[in-house]
Amino acid sequence: MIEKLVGRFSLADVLSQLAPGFVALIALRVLFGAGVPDTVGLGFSPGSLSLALTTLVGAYSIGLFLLEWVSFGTRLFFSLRMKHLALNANPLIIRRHQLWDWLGWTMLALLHGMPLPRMRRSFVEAQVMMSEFNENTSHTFESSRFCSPWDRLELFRKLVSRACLKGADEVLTCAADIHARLLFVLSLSLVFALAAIAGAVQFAVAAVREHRVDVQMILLIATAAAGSLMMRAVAARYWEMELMLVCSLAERRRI
Amino acid sequence: MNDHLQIKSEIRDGIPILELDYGPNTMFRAQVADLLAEKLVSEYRAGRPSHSVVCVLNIKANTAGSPLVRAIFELYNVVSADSGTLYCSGYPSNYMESLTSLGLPALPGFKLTKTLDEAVAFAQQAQATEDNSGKSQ
Repeated sequence: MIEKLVGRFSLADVLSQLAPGFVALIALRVLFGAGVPDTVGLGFSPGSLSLALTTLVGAYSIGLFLLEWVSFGTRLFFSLRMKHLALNANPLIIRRHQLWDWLGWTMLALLHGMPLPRMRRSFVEAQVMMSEFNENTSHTFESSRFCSPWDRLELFRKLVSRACLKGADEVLTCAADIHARLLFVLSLSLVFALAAIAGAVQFAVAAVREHRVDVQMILLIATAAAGSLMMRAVAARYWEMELMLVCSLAERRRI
Repeated sequence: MNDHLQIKSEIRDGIPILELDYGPNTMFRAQVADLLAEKLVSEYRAGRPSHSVVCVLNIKANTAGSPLVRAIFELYNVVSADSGTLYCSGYPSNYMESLTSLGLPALPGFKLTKTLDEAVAFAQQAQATEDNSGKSQ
């Protein structure tokens, strides 16, 4: 039974969910003044074992939660980003955002902002092709309305696997591997962004209430923000790679 | 017949205009994207004045879908290959969200307008600018 249970999770899955969870736990400890956890003194006493198990389960749960958050946030960000791009190019026709939309957009960009590929013909062609394929295969109409480029690629990756193509399994395995890395990097980036925001709030409160400037906190915020931005740049490259890999299957099928 | 497909082309003040109309069931027909694209491109090529760098596509139908987006994209490819601009008017507003999510309105050389008159006015402006820059060179 344990073997079956363990078999359900690949090592990459577990690590990609555990690692961001651990980083989030450590960030929480650092931000709330408990410092970096000291693991050197932990022996094999029942107390330390249960603490380790609780930490493990906690980190895994937080990792899963972060994964869902990242998927939802990135989906929303991509969708709004496409709308913004269309709005900038056609200000007369597309509805302008209200103030609340802009506030939401700013928050979303802070936490999930990621460079999208430039609006070149090939990117749009890939979107149109995926949309056509998804609709034809799933027998739905106008699914683009509720699909962002993020969903579209995910759906396409799942649906294109139904087509029996020679060598498709290798490409899809590679794409799934890249997708796992993408989610891992995005989860870490979210943790860093949250840590930077929480640190900035703490810093502002301390500066106003106690009139003191904590240099260590400034360094922490800057490092977390820079780390988050760098990881988003890496994530963007992963997303492009995944897009190219999966779309290569469609090219071979000549949809 | 609910799925009639009609493409009319005309030249108004030197601007090629393609008028597209179809029934609500057309978007569900098999291979309609290829058919639409082929017809739009051939009408544009046949009716386009030699010096023109713009094209206006007016959609009269109330429904849209992936086949229409594909056809517009193919027409855009042909128009932009000559460094031209495609002005699209009358795209069904209920389906605008799916068009924006596909990224087509953000492409350089593709403009959306509400009405045909607006599209023609913009196209005339662009054509005049192009003509003037051609003369000065």
